[in-house]
Amino acid sequence: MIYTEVFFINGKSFTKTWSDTGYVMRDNISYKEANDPTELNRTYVEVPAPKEEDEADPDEVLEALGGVL
Amino acid sequence: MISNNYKEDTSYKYRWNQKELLGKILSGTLDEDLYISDLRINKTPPAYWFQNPIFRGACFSGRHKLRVDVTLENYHPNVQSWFEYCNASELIFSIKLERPGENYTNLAINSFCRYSELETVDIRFLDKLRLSGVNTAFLNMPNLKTVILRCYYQIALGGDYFLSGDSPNINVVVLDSPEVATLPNIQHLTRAPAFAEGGPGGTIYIPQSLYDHLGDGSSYDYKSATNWATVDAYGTITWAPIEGSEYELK
Repeated sequence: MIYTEVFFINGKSFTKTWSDTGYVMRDNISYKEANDPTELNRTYVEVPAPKEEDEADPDEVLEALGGVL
Repeated sequence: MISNNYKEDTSYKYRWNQKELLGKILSGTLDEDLYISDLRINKTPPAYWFQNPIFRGACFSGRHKLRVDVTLENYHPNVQSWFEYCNASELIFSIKLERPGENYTNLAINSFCRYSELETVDIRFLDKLRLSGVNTAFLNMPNLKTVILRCYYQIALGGDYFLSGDSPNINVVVLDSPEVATLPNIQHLTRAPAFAEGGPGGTIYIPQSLYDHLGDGSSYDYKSATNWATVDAYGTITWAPIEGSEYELK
């Protein structure tokens, strides 16, 4: 579900938008939490969090190196 | 398009043969600046090549600069941990893709130089590569002051942050990209004390084309961009154009 909350910085109004299940997206860009000037009336859709990239196997080091320098 | 025209800095010299160079790096007796040009990697890039054993730990004696230009002959989406623990003071790292596609290709630099002694990091992705993630890239780097990203487009995704509270001296960020960089949440910037609410402030350099339109409402710029606008409202960011600054590539 998407949530929004209004807050103020130095008298200026901002709107925070976030999802409890993943990211929020606007114009094909994902945000973990989007903070925007309230006056801009930006709206978001909910998207799942992207899959984390696996760490490479350290054993690939010597094989891929192949004496290159 | 980011220009790849740059003047070769003659202070970087690569004079030794491979065996001598490796010996100096591994023994920590490399006592000059080092420039490795056109390092070609023809298989899936090893995540730990630069960390273990080549550029890990005390490869340099004293403060020196390191520059490495890499060509990837095969694409891999994650450049990870390449300069962890590196004890150079300044790093320039250029990466090119041998066979770029028609569209831009995403690349992440997760855990890139964390735990190192670097003061300045200058990352250059040219030739249709764009940065897609900087997860913990600059974590726990007490000497780090300046972060320079020269790529077509930056997105910082992942659970950990672009700038870290464990690297407390970062106060200059250079975003050399023709588009506004994405900030997934404000903590990616405000974990650096300089940019946090009430912090002493820092400087962010951006291209003149984006600097010219800051806050004038004519286009999507850093003062209206998601999350950037919030940090800007804290008053801790001083914006400056890259052109004419010390960070301009000439």
